[in-house]
Amino acid sequence: MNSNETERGLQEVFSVVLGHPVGPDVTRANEPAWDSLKHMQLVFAVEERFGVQFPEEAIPQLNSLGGFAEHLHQHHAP
Amino acid sequence: MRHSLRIEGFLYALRPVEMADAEFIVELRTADPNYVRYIHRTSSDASKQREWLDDYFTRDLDYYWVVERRSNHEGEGLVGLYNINPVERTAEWGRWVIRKGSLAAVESALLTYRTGFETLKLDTLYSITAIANSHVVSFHDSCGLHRAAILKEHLRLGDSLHDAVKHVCPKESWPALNSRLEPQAQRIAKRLGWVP
Repeated sequence: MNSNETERGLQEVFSVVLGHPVGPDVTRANEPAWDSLKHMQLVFAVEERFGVQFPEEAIPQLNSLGGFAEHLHQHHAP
Repeated sequence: MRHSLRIEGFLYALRPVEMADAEFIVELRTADPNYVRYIHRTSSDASKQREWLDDYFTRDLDYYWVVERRSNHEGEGLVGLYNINPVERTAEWGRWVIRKGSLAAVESALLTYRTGFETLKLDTLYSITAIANSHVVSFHDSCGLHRAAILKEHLRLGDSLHDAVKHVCPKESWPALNSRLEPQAQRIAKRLGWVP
């Protein structure tokens, strides 16, 4: 899976969980709907979509769509 | 209020605040500038916090807890049920602070609601949040709570007055709220090492 496919997949997951379309630049700071409950829903939904499991210490640091993408590429490259 | 109400969850527990928690409370309530601007000002002087706790211990109908991880008893947050009206059987839930990087938010909320409805047998719990505190407002929305009112210039934070949202959860909504929070809290707990 290349980076564009990853980003598109993440945008789809984020849009479903957050309840509206999001762009690639969405962050926890600039997205009011990204609350603590949604954060964990995002983590689990991304894990299911991409077949990965984020380590505990990484979960609180995943604060942007780009951060999710970066983690997927760095730690779960095919 | 001095109380002994300890609530055990999956990975986390609520334990009564003690005087020895004064430094922890100050640290938590002053550490994150993004959070500090949305809560009542807290002195960075632990002795002031001890004075506040002295007063708190004498008050009735006010429960204040440390959110601690059960495995090591390390505090990761704070939460309270207060302004309890024993006639109307209502209470405000708040003083909610979770340490940056902790994943205790969902389970601490679950345990607070469970305590209010199942242990204290209250009829209604409500929270009042500064509108600008968008992530906490969203959290209550995500829990399915009803936005009962917008309170104009209701909260004094620092030197200015802020509009607030009042979210309300009647006991009739507790089963639905529980079914929304409990599976998520359990899933988080399993991820963090809790074994059923």
